[in-house]
Amino acid sequence: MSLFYKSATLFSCFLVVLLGIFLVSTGFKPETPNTEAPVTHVVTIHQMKFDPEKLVVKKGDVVQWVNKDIVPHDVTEINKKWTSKILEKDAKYKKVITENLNYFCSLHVIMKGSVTVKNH
Amino acid sequence: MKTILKSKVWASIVMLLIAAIGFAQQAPQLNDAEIAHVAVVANQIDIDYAKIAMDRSKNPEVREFAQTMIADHNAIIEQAVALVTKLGVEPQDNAVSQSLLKQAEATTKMLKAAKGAAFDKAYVDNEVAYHQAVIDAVKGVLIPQSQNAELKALLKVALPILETHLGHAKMAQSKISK
Repeated sequence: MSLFYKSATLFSCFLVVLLGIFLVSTGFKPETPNTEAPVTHVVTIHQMKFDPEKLVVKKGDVVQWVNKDIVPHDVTEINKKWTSKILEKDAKYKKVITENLNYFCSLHVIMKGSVTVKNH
Repeated sequence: MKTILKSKVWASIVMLLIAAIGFAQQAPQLNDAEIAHVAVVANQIDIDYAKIAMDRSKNPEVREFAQTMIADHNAIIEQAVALVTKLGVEPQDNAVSQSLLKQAEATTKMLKAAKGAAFDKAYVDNEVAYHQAVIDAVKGVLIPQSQNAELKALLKVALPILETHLGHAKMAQSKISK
């Protein structure tokens, strides 16, 4: 191998190392597909509250609301884009979460909750 | 003049409620059968007010609130009836229940005399006052005096429901008075 090729190879290695240091220092993380199975999070409706009121999930996770009160409730998007319809005692409602969500109970308008999508 | 009259009516209603709570607090110890009776009567009174609202109001918020009152207070009554049936207790009429019914008669007359926006305001104002009075009675009289653990637990379950209704009624009240 000629000196030229040796130098070029060494220089290429140097460049790769430099690029690596740059990417690591700028917080770059290689895009890897999310292969984790979606998690189901449970929000219990109990004593006229959503518990937990604020929930953080990954995109694609499922939230399941379970009514444990003796009175009916619902889960309604804050701008009324969709609703679970009325959930009697022990009734459940599931939703796949793809974006941040603010919701309330349209029967008891002071009951509110939120789901935030966060990439872990 | 109308405003003065209205103020007088509200002052007398508030005095009646205060007197009722005071009466209940000074009343002889209520037994569990009497407490169960008070619970059913107090819930039924609010269902009856809500039915008047469903007949008279065209305001969607007032109607939605009234529908919730019917559903929730019926659910509480169902639980109370299931409990007394399980315990083999017959709800027993008493002075507190009679006092509540007497006030309800006067309030019903007042509500039925009002129309349109005046009705909505009168209904929602009464819901705020009524829920506050019932919450005070449940906290101050019914829970401390109930002997049966399941009856006490049911009253404790009813309390956050009543408090949520009060918050909802206050929210409706602030919108109506704007």
